[in-house]
Amino acid sequence: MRTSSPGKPSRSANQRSLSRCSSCTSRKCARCPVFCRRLATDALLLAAALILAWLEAILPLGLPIFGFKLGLANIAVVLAVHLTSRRDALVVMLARVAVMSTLFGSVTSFAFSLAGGLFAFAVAAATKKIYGKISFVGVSILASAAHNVGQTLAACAVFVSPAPLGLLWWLLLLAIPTGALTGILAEIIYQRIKNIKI
Amino acid sequence: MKLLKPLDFAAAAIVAAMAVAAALPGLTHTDPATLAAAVTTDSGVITLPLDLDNSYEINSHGHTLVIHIDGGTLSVTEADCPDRLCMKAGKISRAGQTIICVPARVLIEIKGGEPIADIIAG
Repeated sequence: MRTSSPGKPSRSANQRSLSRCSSCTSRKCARCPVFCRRLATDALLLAAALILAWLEAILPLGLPIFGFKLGLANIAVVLAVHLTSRRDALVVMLARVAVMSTLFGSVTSFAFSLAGGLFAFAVAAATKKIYGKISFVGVSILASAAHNVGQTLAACAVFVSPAPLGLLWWLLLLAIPTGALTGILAEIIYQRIKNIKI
Repeated sequence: MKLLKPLDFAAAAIVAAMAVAAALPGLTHTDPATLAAAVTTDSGVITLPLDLDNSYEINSHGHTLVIHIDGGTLSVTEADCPDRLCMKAGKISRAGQTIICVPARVLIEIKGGEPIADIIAG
């Protein structure tokens, strides 16, 4: 019997069903309906992230500053953190980076994407607990800033020089409007789908 | 607006503060006589003086860039990399400013000068 403690933010239907995997002892995952649901949900989120990333690659939005992007794919990652578990969201993010850089990128773009994605995921995961007081807009702003910090650090590593830090303040300033935009989109989507039971 | 929560504005404020903090080290003199451009290519670092008007052709990692120095400012006037971000970056003239071309693995950074922050503090 599931007991609920007062004061905890209510979890979505997905989160409740998906969290049963961590307390499972049967280990027959291929036959478990909960695991299969989880796999399907993660795959859907990955597909969404890939479509968003592809869209961003096609549309010539943006300013001529290295590292400026709208960050639409991050919508899927942030949603994944809240709709599934943090572990699932990490897998979705890693898979998205791997597929995108294999199809569209190079070794360097893989490193940059990975660095940015990891930082953005870390921020999204860290803010999961305080979600009630912060909406996705704030989470996205912080995640965009983190993504840019990650990419700048990756650039510093690639060039073995502290020079890319000079562009960082521009990227951080631009992270506020782009983060707000993706955050508004994420929040609207989340409110609509959080109670759908898969 | 029903969407926003209080910490959202805090998040925006935090990122704005980070941006200001990251911008501070870049406030420096623009006197060309004391500045030089350090161009890092895949064959090493080349130093170009900023007070000499000249054009330089740089070959790196299969790509060719043309750097033009004019009146104390540096800009990339030609590049054969796919995205041409280096050309769109415009002119740089202050110490700490950079232009990066990732496909060519070229990093152009202006070095030298005295940070303005030192002058304000003392």
